[in-house]
Amino acid sequence: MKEMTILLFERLGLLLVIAFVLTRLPGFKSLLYREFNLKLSLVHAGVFGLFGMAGTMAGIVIDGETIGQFSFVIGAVEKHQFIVSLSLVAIVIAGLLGGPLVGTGAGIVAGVHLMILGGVGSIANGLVNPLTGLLAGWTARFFSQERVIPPFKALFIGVFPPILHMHLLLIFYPDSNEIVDRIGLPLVLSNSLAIAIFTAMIGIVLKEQENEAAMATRRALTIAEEALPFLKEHHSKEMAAGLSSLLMKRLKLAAVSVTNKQEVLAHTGMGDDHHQTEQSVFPSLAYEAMESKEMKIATTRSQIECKHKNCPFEAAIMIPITEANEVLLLIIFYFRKAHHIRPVELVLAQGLGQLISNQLNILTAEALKFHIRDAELRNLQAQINPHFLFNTLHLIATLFREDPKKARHITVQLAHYMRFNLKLVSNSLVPLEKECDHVNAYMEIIQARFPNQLKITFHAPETIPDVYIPPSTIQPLVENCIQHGLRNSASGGKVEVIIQKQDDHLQVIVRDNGSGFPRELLKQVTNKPLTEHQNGGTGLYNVNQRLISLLGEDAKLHVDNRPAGGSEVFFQIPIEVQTKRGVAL
Amino acid sequence: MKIHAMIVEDEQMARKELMYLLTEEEDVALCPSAETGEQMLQLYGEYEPDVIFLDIHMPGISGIEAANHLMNQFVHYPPLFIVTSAYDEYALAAFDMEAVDYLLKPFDELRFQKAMKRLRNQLLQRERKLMEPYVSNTKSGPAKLLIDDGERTAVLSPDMIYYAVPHKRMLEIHTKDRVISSRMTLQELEKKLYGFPFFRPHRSYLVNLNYIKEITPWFNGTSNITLKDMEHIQIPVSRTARKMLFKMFENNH
Repeated sequence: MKEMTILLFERLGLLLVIAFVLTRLPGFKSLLYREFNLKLSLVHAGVFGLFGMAGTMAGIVIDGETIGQFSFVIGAVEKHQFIVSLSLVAIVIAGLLGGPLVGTGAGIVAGVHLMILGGVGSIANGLVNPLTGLLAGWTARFFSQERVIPPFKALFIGVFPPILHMHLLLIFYPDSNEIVDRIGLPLVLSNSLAIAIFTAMIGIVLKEQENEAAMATRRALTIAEEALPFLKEHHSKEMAAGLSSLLMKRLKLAAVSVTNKQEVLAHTGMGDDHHQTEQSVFPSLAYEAMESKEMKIATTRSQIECKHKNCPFEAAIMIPITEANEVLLLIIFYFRKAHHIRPVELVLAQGLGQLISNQLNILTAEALKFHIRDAELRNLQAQINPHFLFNTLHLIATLFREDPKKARHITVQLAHYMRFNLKLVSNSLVPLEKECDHVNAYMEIIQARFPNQLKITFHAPETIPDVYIPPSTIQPLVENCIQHGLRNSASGGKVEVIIQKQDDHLQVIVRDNGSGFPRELLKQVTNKPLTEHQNGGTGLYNVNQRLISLLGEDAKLHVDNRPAGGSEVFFQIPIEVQTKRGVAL
Repeated sequence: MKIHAMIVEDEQMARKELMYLLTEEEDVALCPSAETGEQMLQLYGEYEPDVIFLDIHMPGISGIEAANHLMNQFVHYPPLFIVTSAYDEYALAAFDMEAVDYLLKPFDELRFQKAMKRLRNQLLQRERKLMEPYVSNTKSGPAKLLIDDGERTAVLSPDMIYYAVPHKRMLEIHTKDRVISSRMTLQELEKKLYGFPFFRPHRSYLVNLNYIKEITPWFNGTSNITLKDMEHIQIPVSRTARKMLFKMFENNH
């Protein structure tokens, strides 16, 4: 009995080695994932049936009291011989994994094989297989919430089939108690242990698969992150080219195409001799994907609809990328063989599609927000202060009588001023020279209104550098001096506007000799709109916001009070970078 | 009698515009203009114009603040205001200070004429209202007044009173031969004497018109009243009051 046990363990070891190799094959993994349907169940029954047959062959033959045959059980045995089969291991696994149908099916295959081999107790040997399969399948229902039965439970379940086997033997062959005595315990031990080990192995495979899915998610995240710089690209062709080469580099694909609704924007990888950019004919599946905004999978050549006879692709995944609920791009992963598309690839493709869509949406929202804010600020700036406008008109009305020449001049200045303000809404950057003209027009009008109270001076280089600046940034600074700094001075007010070159920067300084900023406002005035404050306003804040958002943090306003009294507001813009940006806008 | 007008405006050209428009009006006499609210307060005491053309937005205190100041100071005969502004945002404030009109810059000539018409009407109405007690000589109320001086109650008939003036928180009521001090206010006395020929030539004097002997001009359009039997007493008359005083005598005599 001891030898028998050891021998059975050895044989089972052999069987488990085969099983281990089986679980390493890619096909096996797919066996674990797919949904069960009748056709697949039959396939699985067949596979496990074969595995059961292997179990039988790995068994031993006993002959009365001695072990008759050490070698594998290949052919039929003599009438007095008895086959100790290990097929039950396979059948129990089949039942536990695939349910009663697969279990019974596999059992029938293994059972018939055993019966054909013959020997003592062939009917019991044969019958026990489908019976076990059926029972194991039913047992599995109690564990339906667990994907794989834990090894300890499997060990427990594995005790019963050999016992059932022995019972059947005793029922059909009442005089076989001698055999039962000899093989009963070894079979129970070896079978249950083998089943436990096998379930453990399957558990490992499943865990591996889960890891793979997690890896795929992580990969999708990394790729989506890497894709960000390309997505920021304004030109769709450059975006597509960057995206396709990135995907090609990161994923094991035959080729990648990126298309928009009309044409192929980029194609990287195999088949670039006939899958070229600017192609405008898509397979109908691609249209379907774009229509339904859902991922589509082509698994045959006919679905890819490539007319080229040497087209290397057999399968493809088509991933629509949406932006604001509109399909913007279609990414196509090409594969040379249909089975290269594993569940992991599908998960990855789906995830990538969603991540890239999300990123595009976020980018669009950000860009939109920026544009809206900028437009809002410019609109605010464009609103001509009604006091300024009507007081100026009043001035002109008086000047008609007092000094007609001057009336004409001021009318022209007001026209300049207003024309600039009207254009403000449509331009986010203007040449500095235009801005200076605007400031000059404003200054002339103010000067004419308050000839005795104010002196405004403007210092700028002979030739104003060719830089661009957010429109109406200097004028509000001057206005701020007059409205707030010089609010209480009835005479002797001075405002200086200085524009000067400093290395590669251009400095703009506006200062007055008024009352300066209240100490508590000095820090806030550029950082938040001071709408609640009685002397406050949003002028400096708006200017600062536009300077920062259009020219960067370095261009922000610096506000300070001068030691001799009055305030100084100053900002600087880089000269070179500016020229480039100006052209783009 | 001419309407005395003062311009309060910080913009030189805007002042010139108003000056031009006002000199076109024959019944308007211009006082010197003020460039700030503070200056207006200074000049007002000196010239006491009937109407002030007031700009709101000026350096220093705003037109509204300056006007409130004036009205608190000259409760008895506050000037009338016409607000001039480039925008309509001060309309409510103007309503609050009972401005005659609100003129938007640049001025529309027709609108300006309308404002002047309104001004004339209001000045007339105001005069009438102020003179009502004296013009309608049909007296009512008691023929005798009871004046409590703290110790006893004096019985006076209105025609015994020459004039009244507050002095050290008390009201001095002067009759021909004695002075009665009472805790009542000038306003209270004026109310009691409603319908009798009493007049306030100055915010702190109430005078019986029947005892006025002569009116002598002082400076800047103000005058002094000398009373019968009390030639040593000079009672100041504000410029506005002087005008009314003359009108009253013209109407009655």
